[in-house]
Amino acid sequence: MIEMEGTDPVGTIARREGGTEPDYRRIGRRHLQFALAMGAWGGLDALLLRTALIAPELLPARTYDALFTTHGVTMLFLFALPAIWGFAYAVVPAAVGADRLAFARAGRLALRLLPAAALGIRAGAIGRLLGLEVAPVATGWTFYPPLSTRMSNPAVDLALVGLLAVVASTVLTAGCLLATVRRRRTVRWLDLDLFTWSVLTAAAMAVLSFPVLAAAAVFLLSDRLLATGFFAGSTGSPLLWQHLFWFFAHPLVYVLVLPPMGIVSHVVARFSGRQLVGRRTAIYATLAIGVLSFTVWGHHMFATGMDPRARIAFMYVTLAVALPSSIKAFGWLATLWRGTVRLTAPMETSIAAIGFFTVGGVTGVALAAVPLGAIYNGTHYVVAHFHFMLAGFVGLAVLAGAYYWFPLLTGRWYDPRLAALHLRLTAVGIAVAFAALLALGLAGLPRRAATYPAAYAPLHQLATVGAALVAVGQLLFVWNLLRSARSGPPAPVDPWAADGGPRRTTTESP
Amino acid sequence: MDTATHPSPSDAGLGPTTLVFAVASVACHGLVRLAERTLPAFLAALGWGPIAAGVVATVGLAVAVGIGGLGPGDSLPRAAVAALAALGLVVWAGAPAIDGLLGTPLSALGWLLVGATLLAAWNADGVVGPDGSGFAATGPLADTDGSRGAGDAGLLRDPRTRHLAGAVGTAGAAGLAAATFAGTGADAGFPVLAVTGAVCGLTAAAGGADRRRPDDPDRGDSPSRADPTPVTGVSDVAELRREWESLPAGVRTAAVGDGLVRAATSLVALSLVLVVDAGVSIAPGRSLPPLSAFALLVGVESLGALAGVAATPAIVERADPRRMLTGGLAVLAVVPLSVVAAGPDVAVLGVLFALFGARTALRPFRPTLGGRATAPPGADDDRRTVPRTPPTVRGAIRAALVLAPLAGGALYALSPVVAFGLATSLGLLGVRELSRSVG
Repeated sequence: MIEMEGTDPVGTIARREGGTEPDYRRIGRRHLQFALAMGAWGGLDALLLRTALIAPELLPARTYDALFTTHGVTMLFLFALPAIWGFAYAVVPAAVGADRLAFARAGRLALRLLPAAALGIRAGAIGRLLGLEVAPVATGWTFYPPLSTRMSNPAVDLALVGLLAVVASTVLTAGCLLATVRRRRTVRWLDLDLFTWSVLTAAAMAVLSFPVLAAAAVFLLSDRLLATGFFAGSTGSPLLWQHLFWFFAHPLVYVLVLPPMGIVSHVVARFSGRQLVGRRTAIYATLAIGVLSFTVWGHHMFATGMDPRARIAFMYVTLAVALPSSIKAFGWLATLWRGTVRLTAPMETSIAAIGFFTVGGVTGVALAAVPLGAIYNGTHYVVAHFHFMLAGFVGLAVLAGAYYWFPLLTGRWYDPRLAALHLRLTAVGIAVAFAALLALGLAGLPRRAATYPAAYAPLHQLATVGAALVAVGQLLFVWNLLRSARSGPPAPVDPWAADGGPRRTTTESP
Repeated sequence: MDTATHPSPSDAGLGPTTLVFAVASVACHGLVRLAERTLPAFLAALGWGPIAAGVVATVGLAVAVGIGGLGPGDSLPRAAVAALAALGLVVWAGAPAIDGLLGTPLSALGWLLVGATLLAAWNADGVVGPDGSGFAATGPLADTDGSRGAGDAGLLRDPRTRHLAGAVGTAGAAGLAAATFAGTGADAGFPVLAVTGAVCGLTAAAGGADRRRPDDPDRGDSPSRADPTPVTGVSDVAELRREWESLPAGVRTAAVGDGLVRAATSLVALSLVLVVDAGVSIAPGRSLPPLSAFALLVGVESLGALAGVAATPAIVERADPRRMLTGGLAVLAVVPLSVVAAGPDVAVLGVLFALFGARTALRPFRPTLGGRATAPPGADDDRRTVPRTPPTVRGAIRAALVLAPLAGGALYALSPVVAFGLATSLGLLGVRELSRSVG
């Protein structure tokens, strides 16, 4: 399929047919519901940790350590991944002309593993709520040894088991999606839409990278429970964990980023009234990102005493990733240029996402350079860069997808004014929160520390204001969707046809 | 286009966004009020005394009165007012550390003054409107009968609705403040309140960005078109003197009397937190930090204000305005000294704060505040009316009362008993003058 104004097989095929919901739609919807619930929990963690930073008397430092750990693990593994897979399940089979999933049982098993993963990962918090002798994990989402090997808290073991469940779920989902495209596709490869290409690439990356996390987690569990010495003791090395973890985790970031890139490509083309500029190049760029992302893990370890030659090599390959990413951004902007832009909610959200992608990308390029990376790696600069990319780009692109596919999947419109308010709050909140953190990072303030010099209090307060604005925005988003799913006006089969849609303005781009 | 299948924004309805806008505005209003009321305790935690609190309040009031005196055409957009308020609260939250961050020489007090200035538009003209609480305990900073502070989308045009909304917001914020101060002191709790208020302010700004002001020229039902109320700011002194001298003696006496009562209220309103902070630490049977107790008392005061506003129509309908005015203000006048005398007795303080809040019930009868200080329909008894002062005099009284918080702070620095005793004396003197004019 080619993204052109006025046609959208993704949408028209994905609609409920004959009153029965296809299995892929059901699995996708449940993934999205799970992601929404976990996103709320992880978001609450974020609000609490921001509160701990501006009012340490209310929440002690130990709680702060636990909150930034559970926030990170929850948002990455229990919110972002299921949300992306949810859209993939709901949309990709229809987009490739498949009538059902290949290996549907694997898809259903992947879904069932998610609650188990959540129970394991959040066991510390759940246990604490139940009054048990456990505490939430406070290792950071990276589980670095020797901190993680020395903690006696059994919640760490349960969290690692939870991560293994995430790995199993992700690999099953990735396999299911790959097989569906491979076996049940009725569309030519080069006619696949960009969202499907990005999901395909992400799924292939997940199949290759997540088993590495599984192996590392098993070794860490073994160190903790069987007193082996993979990552600690005279025979082990904490750096081995870092190599294994980042070999997995950097591709993870792209597993999370590529499908949102596909959403933005689809939405921007759709509402610019033209085909995506450089469409084929964008597909190659997607594949290039997939390959290159396996070669750049070392840039997370510039400060570990790595051989300078290795550092230089990692620096260059990391900088190389910027090229295909820039091709993507160029394609979006070129498509907007002289396009007949319709400012619908998904389009506005995508444009905001492109803005944050640019900021996140530029700040990331700086981190790739050895001298800067070594200086800023331990500061809030990394937090800001990461969140501009994850919250600003991935988060907003996922929201764009939600606004785009909601009428297609439910047959109902949402309130466009509430959606505009939601976008305004979210975009302003993200900009305020992470610009403040960027300033803190540039000032050299270390991350992962509950205490800081008093002079930085205003910036932390500003970041808290931004985070709370984002939270208010998401409440409005959920309210809008729930309300609209029940009583929204009916949407036609192709709600985004050129003559329809709850758009706010139509404008001719210069 | 088929609007049944392709709803336009207007088809989708204004309900949800208007609701978000209103809730955020009311919450912001309440948090602004709580921040203003607890500001002296925050300053005390930073090492500043009550005079500094008076300076901040006086500067904030002065700017707000200036804005309140502008014509409707000079009004800022609602979103800008809310955004400025949010910025003001952020500045307040970070005031102790901004110098350290930016290298400026203003000190915490200087940044608090900047914050108060940024908040002035909200106080004069905020979405909820000038309700005469917080710094402006003396009364509204703009003429509530006029075209300013009338709220958007027809939500808060009615002064009574404004007062109800303001009281609800303050009561809610008081609950949050009580919970916050239960776990932390003024130095950490105040920024939490201010940051929360900033979030609400920015939400209101985002929600109000699409809204037109009631006085928008494109809006057909603009009150400025329908009711071109004159600007009620402070005019030049000569004109003021002429208008003053042309007033009947009874009206002048009533204006002086009511002005004195308002001055008495304004002298002590800001210092109440210091009295409670110094004297109330334990509620019967349970431990309660002083600031938490104060926040609860402000909540009680808001409930008193709510009750006062709710009871207003019935009172206007049935009560004798003159007796209501003199009796009610006499009770209000003795509240300050009673607060000092009550000591740590939370129950007595609760009653006193509720009475303090319930002064809203007297508003329609007050010569310098009320818009409906006349006898009930059909009444022909001349004694059942109270005088009403013209807008120019009201503006002059508002301007004169700007200095009251500073004077109150200075007096409190001398002695709380002196400050609160003087306020009571002044209030009773005002009641005496009023009773002369309406008796």
